[in-house]
Amino acid sequence: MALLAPTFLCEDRLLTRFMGLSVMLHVIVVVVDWSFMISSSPSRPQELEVIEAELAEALPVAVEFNKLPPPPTHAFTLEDSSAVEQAEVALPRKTAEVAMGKEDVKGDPNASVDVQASVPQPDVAAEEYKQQLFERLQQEQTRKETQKRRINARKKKQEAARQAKIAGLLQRSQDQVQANATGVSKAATAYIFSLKAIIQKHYEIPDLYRQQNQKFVEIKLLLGHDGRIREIDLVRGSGKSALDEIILNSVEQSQPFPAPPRELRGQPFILRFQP
Amino acid sequence: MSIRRGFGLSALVFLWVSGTQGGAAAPIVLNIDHPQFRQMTVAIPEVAVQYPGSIPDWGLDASPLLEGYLNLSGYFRVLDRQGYQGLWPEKSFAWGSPLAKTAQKMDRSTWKQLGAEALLLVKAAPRGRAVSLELTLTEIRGQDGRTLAKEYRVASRAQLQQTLKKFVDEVLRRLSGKPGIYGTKIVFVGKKTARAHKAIYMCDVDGSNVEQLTQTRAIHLSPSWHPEGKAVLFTSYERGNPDLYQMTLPGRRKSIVSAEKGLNSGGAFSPDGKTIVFSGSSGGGNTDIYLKTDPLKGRKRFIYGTGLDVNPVFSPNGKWLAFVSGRYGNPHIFRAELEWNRDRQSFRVVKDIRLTYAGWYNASPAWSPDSDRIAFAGFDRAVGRFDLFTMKADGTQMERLTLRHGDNESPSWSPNGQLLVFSSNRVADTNRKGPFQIYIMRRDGSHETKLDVGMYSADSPKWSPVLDWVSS
Repeated sequence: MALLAPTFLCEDRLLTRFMGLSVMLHVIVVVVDWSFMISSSPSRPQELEVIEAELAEALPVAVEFNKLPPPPTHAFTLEDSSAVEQAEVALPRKTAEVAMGKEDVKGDPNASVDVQASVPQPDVAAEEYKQQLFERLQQEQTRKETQKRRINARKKKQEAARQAKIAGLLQRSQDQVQANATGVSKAATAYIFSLKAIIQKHYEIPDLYRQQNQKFVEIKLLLGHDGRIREIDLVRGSGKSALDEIILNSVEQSQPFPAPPRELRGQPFILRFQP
Repeated sequence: MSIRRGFGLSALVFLWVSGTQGGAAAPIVLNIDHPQFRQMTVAIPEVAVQYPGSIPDWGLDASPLLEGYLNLSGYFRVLDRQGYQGLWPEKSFAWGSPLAKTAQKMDRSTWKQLGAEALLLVKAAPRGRAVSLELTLTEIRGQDGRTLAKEYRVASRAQLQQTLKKFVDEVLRRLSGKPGIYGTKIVFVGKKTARAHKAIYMCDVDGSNVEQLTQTRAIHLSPSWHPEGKAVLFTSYERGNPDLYQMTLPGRRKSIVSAEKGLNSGGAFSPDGKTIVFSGSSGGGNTDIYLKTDPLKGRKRFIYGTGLDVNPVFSPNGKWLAFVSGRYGNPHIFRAELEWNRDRQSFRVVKDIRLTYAGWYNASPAWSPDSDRIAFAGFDRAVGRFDLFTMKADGTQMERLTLRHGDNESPSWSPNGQLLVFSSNRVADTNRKGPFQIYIMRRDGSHETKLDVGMYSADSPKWSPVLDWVSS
């Protein structure tokens, strides 16, 4: 009403009404602005939670520094290797001294320990415990060493096998490309390689027929369902009928072949013999 | 309607039937290479004669002589006569006799069952005072029928031997496509007695017909052949200095190639016969490799450096030069790549690579005739002996040829690449050492046979190329 005070001083009614309207409008605008301001500001606690949740998802599990392994107690077991590592770090010198047989061990280690006895007695138990711990550490060390050695040997074997496999694959790459080109399955490829190995084993020719630029011999082979030869033909000869006959005989003598897989039944093969 | 159905049905049946034929699938190609190599089995029955006593006794030796020559070639394994004892007459039989009928009954399938791949039949008949020989080689396998049939007339045992050697060469050429070995000779350094001077000798591949080439009483060393067998290079001390000489063959005219003061040794011809490379001393105790194209002009140094460079040999294809160098300490075998100018008149060394890394002392490289492999002698410290090895021309795939049979040195290949001649100081079959002698073995190291050349000691053998002047 105080705001409206100056309006009463005016004698002109129109001016009064105009002034009142403008004041009202100003008030309305202020109120509307304020309400907008309140509604658009972020409700802080809710957004931060969302962001923290996203961060927690993105980041790895945080290391909680409260969760260190407990110091070794009488009740520790060999499986708790982290505890052993801690113990190794903590007790090297003392246990070494004990191991070297210094006469620090109070009392006879083999004597029965009477817990209720006087003050020096607990030392024996402690020394015994240290001795046991040392032995267990030794065992653990040797166990880990042998494990490491086994792992290394296994790795070496795997590496050698991998190299051999790569070499074998490189050597057979041509056949493999062909086999793949004709759309043959994995089992069929394995059969083809085994067939080739058998024939290769029996491939033997007289030294007399060894020549630098000799033409190769091609033989068409058709196997029956049991692996026996159904058809065998000389497709291309070397020019020496004796050599062709020797190679044909060697293929016939390589029988019996293993039975071909289903998709290779009735599949003709061409064997190309290079001298 | 029923006709259509019938058509459809028959079409289906046709497709099904053709499908089971398996002809629709494209054939899969399998490459099979790297065969195993073996000897060819040959059967050589006894000589067949017209009637017993018709030919002199030396004529009946044709079969055992052929057996020996075929065995030496390294390609054949002669079938033991025991294998066909009951089927083929043991003694020489007469044509037309019941024994001959038995022999004729042996057809190809019987021989195949016995394991023979080839059959060599000898028929002998008197021809005046000489003997007419009919030799027939038949390959049991194949449809070629008779592979080779030849008729000869021989008047003496020596002529019989020469004729049979010529025939075996013909057999080898026909079957392998490569030249035989009986048209070649072996040249070596020999000492007739313990106190004699070392001289250059030449003999046949079976150790017969030994001839002395150098007559001067001085030390002679390291012979080597002209690529066409027209001359032999060697080093001689007859002028008080190790000079390089050349002797033409068969004329036996001797001339000096290089007589520089100091060493002129280990000479070798280039494959075109125009250049001679040798090891020469360069002063200060160093030895380098020199070449000479004109005997009247001076020598040209072309492989040199720290350490000794000796024993140069051209590869038969002219691309490389193998030599022994001590530039890295112990002697090892190196290979120099040669670049010939456009008209193949001269060449230069582009680079050289080291071939042998294993071993402590590797020497005397020898190229195989197809320039594929190099044979050399390497000292094996584990055994304490020199042994023979072969490797590929790039130094890989090293194979050992001798073991625990004394020192084995100076290998040399036969022109067909099947045999190697070398010198060894083994005593019989042991590892003990005695004077050096000449041996022949097959390219895989098997069948080491001593050549009986009648010397106190013989070494540095070199196998000649096929010679057109060998009397045959």
